[in-house]
Amino acid sequence: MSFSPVKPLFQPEQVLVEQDAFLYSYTNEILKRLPGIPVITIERPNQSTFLQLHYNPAKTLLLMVHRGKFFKPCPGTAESYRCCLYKILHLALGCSIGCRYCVLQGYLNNPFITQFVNLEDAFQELDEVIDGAPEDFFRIGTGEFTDSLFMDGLTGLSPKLVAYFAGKKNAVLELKTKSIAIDNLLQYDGPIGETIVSWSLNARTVVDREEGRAPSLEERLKAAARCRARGYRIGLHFDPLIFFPGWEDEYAATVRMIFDFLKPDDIIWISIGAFRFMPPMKEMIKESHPGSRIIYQEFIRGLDGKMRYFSAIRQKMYQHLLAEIRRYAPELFVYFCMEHDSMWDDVFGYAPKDNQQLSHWLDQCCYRYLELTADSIR
Amino acid sequence: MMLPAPKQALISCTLSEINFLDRSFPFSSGSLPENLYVSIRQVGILTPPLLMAGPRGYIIVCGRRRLEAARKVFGEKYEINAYLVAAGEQTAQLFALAFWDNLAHRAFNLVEKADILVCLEALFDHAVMRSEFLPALEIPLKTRFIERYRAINTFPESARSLLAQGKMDGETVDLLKSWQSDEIEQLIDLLGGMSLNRNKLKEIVKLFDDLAGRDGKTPAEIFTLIREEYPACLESAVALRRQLNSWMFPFLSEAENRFQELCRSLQLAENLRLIPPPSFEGNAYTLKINFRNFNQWQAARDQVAAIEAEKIHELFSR
Repeated sequence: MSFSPVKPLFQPEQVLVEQDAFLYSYTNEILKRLPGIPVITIERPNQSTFLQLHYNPAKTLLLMVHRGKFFKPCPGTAESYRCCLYKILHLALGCSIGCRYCVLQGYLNNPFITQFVNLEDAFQELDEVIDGAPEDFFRIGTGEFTDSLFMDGLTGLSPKLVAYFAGKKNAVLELKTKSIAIDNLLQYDGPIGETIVSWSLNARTVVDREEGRAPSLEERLKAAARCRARGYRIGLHFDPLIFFPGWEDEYAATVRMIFDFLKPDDIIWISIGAFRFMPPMKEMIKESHPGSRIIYQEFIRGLDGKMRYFSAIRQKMYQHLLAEIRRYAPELFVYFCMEHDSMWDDVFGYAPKDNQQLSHWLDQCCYRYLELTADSIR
Repeated sequence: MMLPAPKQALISCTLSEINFLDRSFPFSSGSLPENLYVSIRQVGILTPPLLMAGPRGYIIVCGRRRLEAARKVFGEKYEINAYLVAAGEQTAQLFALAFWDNLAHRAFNLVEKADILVCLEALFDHAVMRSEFLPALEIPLKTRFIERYRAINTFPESARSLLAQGKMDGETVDLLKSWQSDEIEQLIDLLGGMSLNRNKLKEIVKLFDDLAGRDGKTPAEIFTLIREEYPACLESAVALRRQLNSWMFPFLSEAENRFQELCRSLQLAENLRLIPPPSFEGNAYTLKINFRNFNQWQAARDQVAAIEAEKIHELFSR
């Protein structure tokens, strides 16, 4: 296989740096990778100053100190639907890929991409949480409020995270992305522990029409295969599944393509979740992307207040996708992100009895968890 | 900040000398309340309105509603006392004066707010708008709300009339703002004979908008389709909503029909009601029993006990 140089998904034309951020060496490390780019020093920003700034979010990077918690539960936690109790390491905010369905449109209106620079504080907080609960197991991701790798060429963050988590016995890191910015991961020559690099996949039409500047499916899967060859475990996420004419064949084709690049054993898990959104997002998508039809389907208000496809549509899509995956990988662990017990029963024939059980199933997919529990039995 | 009072003179004039078509100070839109006519009929105009000299007659600054009511009650020859400000007075100052004076008496409807907003944007800078006028008009500072009012100014008169009467709300404006003016007119024409409150109107507009979006058609094309293929559903709001819903929500409609059929086959007594989860999401069905005495309770209990298990299983088979 040959590889062409990767065009970055984010090329800032200016960098805003909060004064206090200069106290952290990581700030200068990032700035060194941006020679010739204007740097504007600003006071400590707050929400009202954010709203007065009129920068182009696709062209502006903000480096700042994060003063809140870095470690958070995934906001997907809801009573009505099963949640895997994932944890988030909050190191950056925003993404420049521009997926039309992106939930961040509903949460963020900052005119820049934010990278927090006080990594020492983040790692200290993580130490306290992870080392403070040696009997617990943590699945931690950085891709909830951003794409984990889309600006890794600038931030050089991934090797630092991989190195940190390689030293933790009761935690695994999952880097979720649509990008192919994997050079840092491949060049890093330290221990990688059980770091999982995950790709969000979709049907080709959805990739082409709705996923902005994201690389193609082939590029993503090629990148996944390269990461696997380096020793990383691979996760895959079909989220959001989009209902459109021809979805059956196109999702089947994507599944087929996965196994052109990866073996079932390369993949730690596949998650599935149908398109869902907070009601105000419909208006936002309508205004920002007038040509998009994804918001005009048979949506009902779900038990968590989000709009979702009517259950029969979701069930049909899930059953189809699961059957396709099972053709190639009968044993592979597949799970739902935020679905009702009844949907689990209808599609899988079983359901986790609670969120803890679903979390436990995912933990069991991780070798580290198995080692940890074996240790505790010994 | 208190505004300086403009120089003014008390004059007498007839209503025919007033240019009612001039809407430089658009503080009134829509029909007038009946009690205003009653008051005018009884006592006439007590407080002199504020007028400004204009090229085609006096321009109304304050008091339009009273003057319009008087014109309707007494006719053009009715003579009034009025304060007249010189044509040279600053329009912005007069506009602010009229704005605060009107606001003291009543809340503006959506059309009035939209008309006022256009004038305010022309007369005042952004900062004054945001700090003084928009909060007073209860227009949130977010762009999408301001866009809503700007859209109203592009709407045809039939839609503006519904808005002024409170029969159409702001969320419906948001849906309609991407439509062509003639499509909005066609919609109002299509729904003309139906008695719709504003929530029902919003629901129908949303269905049309969603159908057009889903099928890549214009709203006008959807109207044509309805007229040609389902003319019967235009006879009532209920029929139209049912048709649009079954079109937009085929799976949900099918589930509803199946559920209704199952309920019928259960032949439940009147005091028993089976309620599905909202939009059939999840599996929490409810059985509601109303009873006023022990006998009713016992009869209901026996009927529930007699329901065949397979009927209940059917509820959970998608």
